Amino acid sequence: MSGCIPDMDSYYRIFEYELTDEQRRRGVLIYALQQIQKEHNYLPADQLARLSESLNMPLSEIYSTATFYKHFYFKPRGRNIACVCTGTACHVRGAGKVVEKFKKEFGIQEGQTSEDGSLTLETVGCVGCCGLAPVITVNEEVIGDLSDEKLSGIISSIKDNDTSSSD
Amino acid sequence: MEKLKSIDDFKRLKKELSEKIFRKDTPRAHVCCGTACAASGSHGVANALEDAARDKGLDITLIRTGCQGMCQQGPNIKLEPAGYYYQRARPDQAREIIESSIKGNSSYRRGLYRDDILSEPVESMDDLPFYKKQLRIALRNNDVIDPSDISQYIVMGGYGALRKAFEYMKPEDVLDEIDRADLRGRGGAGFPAGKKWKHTRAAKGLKVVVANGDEGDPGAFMDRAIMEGDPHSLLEGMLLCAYAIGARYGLIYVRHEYPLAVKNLKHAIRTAESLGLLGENIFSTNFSFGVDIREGAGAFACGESTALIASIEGERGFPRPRPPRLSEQGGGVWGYATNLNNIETYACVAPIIENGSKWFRSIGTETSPGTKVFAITGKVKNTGLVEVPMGITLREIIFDIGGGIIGDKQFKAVQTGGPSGGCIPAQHLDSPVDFDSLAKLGSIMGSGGMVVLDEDTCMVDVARYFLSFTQSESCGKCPPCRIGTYQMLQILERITSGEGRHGDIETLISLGKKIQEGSLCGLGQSAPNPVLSTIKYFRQEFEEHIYDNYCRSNACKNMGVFAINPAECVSCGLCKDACAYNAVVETRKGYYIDRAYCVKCKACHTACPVGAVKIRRQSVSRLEDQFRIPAEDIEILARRARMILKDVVRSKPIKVVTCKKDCKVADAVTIMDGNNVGSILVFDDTKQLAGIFTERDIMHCFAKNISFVDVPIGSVMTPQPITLDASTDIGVAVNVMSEKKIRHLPVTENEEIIGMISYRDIVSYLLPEVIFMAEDIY
Ligand SMILES: Cc1cc2nc3c(=O)[nH]c(=O)nc-3n(C[C@H](O)[C@H](O)[C@H](O)COP(=O)(O)O)c2cc1C
Ligand code: SF4
Ligand code: SF4
Ligand code: FES
Ligand code: FES
Repeated sequence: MSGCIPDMDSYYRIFEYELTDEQRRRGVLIYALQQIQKEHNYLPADQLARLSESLNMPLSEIYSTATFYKHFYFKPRGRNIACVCTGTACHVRGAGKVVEKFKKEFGIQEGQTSEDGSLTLETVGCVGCCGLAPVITVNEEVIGDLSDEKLSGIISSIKDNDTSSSD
Repeated sequence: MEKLKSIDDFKRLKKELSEKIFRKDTPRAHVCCGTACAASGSHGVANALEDAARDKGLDITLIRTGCQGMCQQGPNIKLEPAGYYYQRARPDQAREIIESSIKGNSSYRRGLYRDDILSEPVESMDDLPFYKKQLRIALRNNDVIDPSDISQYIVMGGYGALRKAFEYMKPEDVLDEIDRADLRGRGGAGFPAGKKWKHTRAAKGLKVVVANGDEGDPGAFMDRAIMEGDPHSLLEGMLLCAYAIGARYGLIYVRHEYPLAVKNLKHAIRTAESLGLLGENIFSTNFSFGVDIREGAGAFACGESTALIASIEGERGFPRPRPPRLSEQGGGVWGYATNLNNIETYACVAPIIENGSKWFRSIGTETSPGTKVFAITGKVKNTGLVEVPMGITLREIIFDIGGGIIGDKQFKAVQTGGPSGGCIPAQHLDSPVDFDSLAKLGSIMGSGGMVVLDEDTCMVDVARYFLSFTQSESCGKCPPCRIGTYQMLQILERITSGEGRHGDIETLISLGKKIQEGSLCGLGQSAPNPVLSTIKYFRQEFEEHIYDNYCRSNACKNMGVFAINPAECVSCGLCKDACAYNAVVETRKGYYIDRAYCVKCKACHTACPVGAVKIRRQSVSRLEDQFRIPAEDIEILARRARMILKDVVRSKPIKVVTCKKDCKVADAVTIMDGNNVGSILVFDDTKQLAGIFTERDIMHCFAKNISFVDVPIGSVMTPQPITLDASTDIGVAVNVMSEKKIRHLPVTENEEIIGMISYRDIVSYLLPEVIFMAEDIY
């Protein structure tokens, strides 16, 4: 579906007739961005340009909306994505230390990708799994009840898997 | 399944299903596959149970449910009809569980819950302390049904309220029932749902029902549990709302972080459509209602109702000024009148219609009927989701249900209401939990997040944490919110890194007030709450950081003076290895820290296995150096001097002398004289405190030649006297009194006056302590 308008009819299963064409195009924007990001892991500039054409919407408008939302990324992300929950429940149970450990092990700051492209470190407000705080997600898999050993295990498995897959 | 064309079709289907599903003679295993349990491996356990049963040739029904509540102890399994409840189940236990509980007739003891290793295990879910006090309305099906199976929902009574409404009730009746039930919004502010529905119903044009599943409050996951574990209860609530207000469409806005919720909701919508419970001409009536999902993209501000609307329309999630309200034409999605409620609010609707508003009002408190789901997290033993009747005390939730604090540490505070709420200290543990009581304590109910904090949590750091959250989530539209939170955050960051300045607390308070007043939406208006409430209850910790460079929880870096206590040190040398600045010195007598090199990074503190590295406040360590008094002794004394007004009130029999506003001055003076007090409190007709009249005022009256006999006290008293909460520090009270030049101070607790304190009381109360301290030191 790269870059073209997503299937409007399936997106407007309701509000089939009530909206103007412009409202329909505008309303699908965030969904379209999500689809692009799903495919490319970030929002490539050329894709956004194509989207701008197919939605008949100025590129600046698209950027203005996309930059508002934290979930959209404009730079390529790493092969693995570790997302540390820094929500309240995780914060009071030591999420800070988890972030520190990732920073140290991969030599990056939050939001950055390691030099070899193996990992992007992100943080999130809460993944809704607070009962197991502190929590991280690695490539969308939720891992809770992190102890020091568990975390070390995860980090080395990220490193090992990454070298084996890039060989 | 075929499309249902009439109510009779529905009844027939329900009867058929009831004969097949949840039969008493087939054993069932309800395995929790909520997010937390799934992360702890519950799918593996479920598969293993299935395999084990098959190997044994047993016929069991395996049900993968949503979150059952006790997430920390997961994966959880409930075996029915025996009722056994297993925790921390592992796939390798599956065989034994099946063997004992399905084939045999006894519980599998190793999987049961115990308070501690010595106590007897608890067999059934209802007897667990965690579940005993719960009452489940919104979460009624969460521990029972498979969310992907609409049949199970129907057998549990699902869509029965919809049937009842169609069969016996007009839309107005449904609306009235909700109004009478006084169902208050579970998403934050507690606005009555009935009122909102009425507004929307009265609007012209097409109407829309929106469910707010943004759940941005970190530490709350009740909406997630409902959307994932019982999606049809949300759909049924929305259907009833649509029926009541005459809406045509429904939208569920789900936050981006909840992919499983989206999946389960989508599936639920499809199956409800295929049964004809959603879509065109439901039950062959002319009522049609279509529902779809919209996903967020990570913005806390989008939980705010107008911002959420903007986000659905594909705009940036900027809140919009009201009016027009959402419920009016022109205010909602694409201008259509919109009723927006929280997920949990909708989940409560069907049971109310089913059982009536009277039943609902019989639960909970007068002003907050029903139950509320809370997510208890943080430093508490049993974290998870609980649903309790409103009016239960914080203590019951945290200690009886939550099992108390991990490692039996000291409870310090509970944070409720997330970034819009506040911290409630130990002295209010016995206050009831409902919308109004929490607001009175300076916090809010919010969406129901409860983060428990213990003695190791630094309150200044908590305040900083919340502000960094709201600061980064502010949409940026209003300058007070965008810039004000930034300024507050900078101050708090300074304080937590040991660079607090004189006057910081006052600046924080005044900035906070300005942000509250000058912001457009709830985010800005409530952003300072966590800071203001922590200052209110934990001002001393702020002062320690600023004036004493000390963090009593040892959470902040760059604070205090580091020292090794030789009595505890086992000379392992780990601290020396940990210190990157060579500040730990090894001598023949043991280890010590050279303060000239120490940068207070806390590496040694973290490294020490026996806790021998101490972080002391500067003043204490100075005394220690100068007078060679052991630091421990000084700390005990310091604690003794750290008293609150409640201690003073308790220490002496205190008379609070009062009179009415129309009482003559002469009479008031006689009362004062008779009681031998220096002040009298004046109340108005509504029994509210109106003013104070003191010895000083007698002097003023005399000087101004006011007639004591004719003039009522109301016209000469000092109106709106300053009062202080009983939890206030004595030091603060002294400051306030000398700054405001007052000598008499009414002390309040929960807004009620519990005593009068004069300047003299405080001095005479402190005196023995002061003398005692002085004697002990010199
Ligand atoms: C900044 C901000 C964030 C909010 N986040 C949520 C949220 O995540 N979920 C929610 O249900 N309500 C949230 N609210 C409250 C909603 O604006 C709205 O009051 C609520 O959803 C109405 O539903 P109720 O009346 O059923 O509670 C938020 C409000 C503000 C100001
Ligand atoms: S108060 Fe803050 S979040 Fe709300 S509209 Fe203003 S800037 Fe945006
Ligand atoms: S780590 Fe603790 S016990 Fe070991 S030498 Fe240092 S202070 Fe002593
Ligand atoms: S706070 Fe981390 S999962 Fe909720
Ligand atoms: S996810 Fe299993 S109990 Fe919460």
